[in-house]
Amino acid sequence: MNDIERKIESLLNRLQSKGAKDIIIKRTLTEQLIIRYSNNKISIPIINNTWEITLKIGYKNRYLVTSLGDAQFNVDDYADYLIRTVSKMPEDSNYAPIKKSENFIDKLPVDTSVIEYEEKAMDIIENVINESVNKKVKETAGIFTIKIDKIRLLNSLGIDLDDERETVSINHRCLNDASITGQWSSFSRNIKDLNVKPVIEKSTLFLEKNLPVKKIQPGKYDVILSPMIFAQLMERVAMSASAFSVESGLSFLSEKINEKVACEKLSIYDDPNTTRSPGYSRFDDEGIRTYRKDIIEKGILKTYLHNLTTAKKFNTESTGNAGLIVPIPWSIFINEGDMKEEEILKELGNGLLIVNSWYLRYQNYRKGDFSTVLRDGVIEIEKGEEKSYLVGARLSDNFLNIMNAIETLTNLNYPIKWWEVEIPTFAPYALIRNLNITTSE
Amino acid sequence: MEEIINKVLDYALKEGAKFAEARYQDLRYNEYVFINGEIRNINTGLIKGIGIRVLIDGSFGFASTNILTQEELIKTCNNAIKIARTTKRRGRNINIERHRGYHDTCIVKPKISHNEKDFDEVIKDFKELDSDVFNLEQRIKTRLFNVYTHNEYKLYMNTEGSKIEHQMPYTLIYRILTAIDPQKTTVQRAKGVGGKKGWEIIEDENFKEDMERDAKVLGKILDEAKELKEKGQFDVIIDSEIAGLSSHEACGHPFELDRIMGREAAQGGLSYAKIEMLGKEKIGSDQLTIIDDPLIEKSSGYYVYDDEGVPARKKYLIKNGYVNEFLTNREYANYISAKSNGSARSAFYFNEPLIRMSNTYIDKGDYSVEEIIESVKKGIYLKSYMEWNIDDIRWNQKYVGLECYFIENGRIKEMVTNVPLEMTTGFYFKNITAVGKDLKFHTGTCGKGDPMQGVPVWFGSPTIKVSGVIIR
Repeated sequence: MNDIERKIESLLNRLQSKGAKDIIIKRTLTEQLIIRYSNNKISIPIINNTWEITLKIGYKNRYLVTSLGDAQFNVDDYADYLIRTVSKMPEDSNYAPIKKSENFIDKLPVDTSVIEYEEKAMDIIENVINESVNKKVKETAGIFTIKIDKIRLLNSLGIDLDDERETVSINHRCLNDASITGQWSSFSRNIKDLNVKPVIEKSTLFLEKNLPVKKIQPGKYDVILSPMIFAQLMERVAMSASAFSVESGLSFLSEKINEKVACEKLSIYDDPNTTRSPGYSRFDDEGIRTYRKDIIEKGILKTYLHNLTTAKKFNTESTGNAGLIVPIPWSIFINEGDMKEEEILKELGNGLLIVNSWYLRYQNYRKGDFSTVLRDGVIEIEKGEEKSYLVGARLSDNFLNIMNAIETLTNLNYPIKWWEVEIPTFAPYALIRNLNITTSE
Repeated sequence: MEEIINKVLDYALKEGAKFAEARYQDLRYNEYVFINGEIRNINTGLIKGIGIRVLIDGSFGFASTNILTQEELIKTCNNAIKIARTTKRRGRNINIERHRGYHDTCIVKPKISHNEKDFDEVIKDFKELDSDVFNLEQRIKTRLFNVYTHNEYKLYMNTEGSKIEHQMPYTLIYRILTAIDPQKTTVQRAKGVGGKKGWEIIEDENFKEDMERDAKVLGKILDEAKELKEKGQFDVIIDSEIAGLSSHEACGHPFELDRIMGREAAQGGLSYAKIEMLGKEKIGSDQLTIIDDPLIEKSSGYYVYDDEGVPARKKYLIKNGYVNEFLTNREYANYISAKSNGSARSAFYFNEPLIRMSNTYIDKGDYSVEEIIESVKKGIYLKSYMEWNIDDIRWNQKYVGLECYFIENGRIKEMVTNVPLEMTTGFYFKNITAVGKDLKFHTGTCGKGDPMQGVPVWFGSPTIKVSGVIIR
């Protein structure tokens, strides 16, 4: 054990000796390799190594959450500062003591360093760029990331847990000019499982087809949302189920537990225990065991996501989703449907296939009114055939409306994680009727 | 720290770097979250570390650490050198625009420092503010305040001999008010105030009065506002808040030269602007001038040298409708044989510096607000918004007016809401037919890059008139 680890233990003891209770200390060592590329060349490679502790301490029914990114800290001075600070907090009527939990042993170790992946990562990027250019794409841009978090979590009830979490992700965009683009992303829990084949195929698909380009006409359309945009929307749904969003007036799922919020075809669950996802985690930031849970089951909202504090406020139990402040899902899964991907265009008939979107903004969080700008392929479909590449479209609708209008889901989920989808999300294609599309004059 | 950094920079040069820089950051923050007047959480923290960027064999390499020993920093520098060298054959053969070394210390002293108020005082103040707003309009069932303060020290050093220190406070107070009338509807309003200031920001920016005004307006929207029935072509008067945001979204972002040249294509996208437009192309009316100025003291976007050690200056991005200047950094200025105009910023020590805005605004014109209103025969006045977005070439944009009024024969008539202003940048800029004298600024956090970097900015504008807008 090195000096820094000993200091963390000393800090825990020192805080206890000063009267603090319900102490949680999470130490995270993060190594990250980021390679950004554009114009078919590497723009910059980045290696970050950081050390951080986050703490939650209770003191006379008060508590404080804090983080420290200074490994050279002095234990006595820092403990004094924390006690001085927490004692100035008001008493919290929802003060939630920590809970004793087991010491878990089933971790998936990561036994290397990101710097060892450097050549391999460059090879992957080179391959993705070259394969795209071979498909007559003019320009590519993207980002490849490997992140390894080594976590130790201690609490004042004697828990001392450790975990190693690895995330590998790629986001790849192809451009023939500023308006004719394609994009796809993927992720895995380690570099050998990263499948870039769909990333190349899907991001180049409509550039290769060279469809005629047209400006979209505003109106109501039947649409197919690809996993890229569907994952983005479903991540927003899962975050709206965070009890913090509900409490803050920022959720369209407020006061809807056990109510129908979507059509029967839609089930969304949070699964931290699937080893194929980088969201794999055995315990949350409060040391509570994580478990799979349905957020929406066959259209019915089953639960909000809780940590100990929100659970106390909502008079329920933690769902193992801490976030010391904001409960968050670990990995979001959409239940697949039964339609094959190659059949869904025929099922749509006439309408739009929408690949991606960005810049989602709410007009009203509580009601779920929003719009998002569509990009990377809005394809006009006529009698199940791809007709033209449409530009200038915006989806301007409402979350509850969209969830209720889902007609069909395909039978294969894609792993999606990029700029607009932070939580690892597994999503299929979705056929949705009668959505509102607008455009600018 | 200075001594260790010098050793690291010398080491980089010995290893063959053409240029190297180190950015040390010590940022101490407090974040308070209030829901309905009750403190929900205080999150305090310290972010402290060094980012090292080297240019070697025509490639950049960037590495960071927060273990601040000489041994660890040399290891970090080695990481930057190693990955830059690995990049060589797949890289861009980068050259950068060079400067002399600068030595400077830039300090902003707050009038009321964050340390002058204990947590309990801050909690008491915001509890009172919450109570005031609830007493004014009791249908505002949910009030969320997010209060963020930090004090930041930055030390920048490079192999050109620069040593630049910035020490500044920053305060951002963001609020979301949700008014619910079960018989009618729900309306929300989000707004922030921010600047490189201490607690004096509450008085300076009229936080209380502004919030109380919003509370009354939310009540009025619930009671009086109607959806716009008549659709068609209107003259639209746009208040400072929306027009200011549009200067950021439709001019500032697309005038970032890295975006124009494709570096952000996978994330924030590209730009309608092209290098060949510089100094030649007219994209707005004569009345449209848009400026980016980092030297507005105590503003959210205030800095004196950028994060590549280049002196900051005011830039006229659009001048009387013409494309006049793009935002640049050392690498991208070099591509167009220009001098960097000091627009490189990074949010944290572990982020690479990118081309960013600071304080972007539409310059003031000659009209009073009354004159603008009187000039409109049939129109709509958009005072505030909730929803907005823009496509990734910054051409197709939308702002949905929350507090809006119908205007007839130069007079303000009934209140309307949810007015969607959806227009292209080309149409918008060319149809600005009046610009007011009432320049005001607003605060925001601008996002760019991957990993996402949020940096504080102001955006501003006077009241403006856009003629002939189609509203559906």
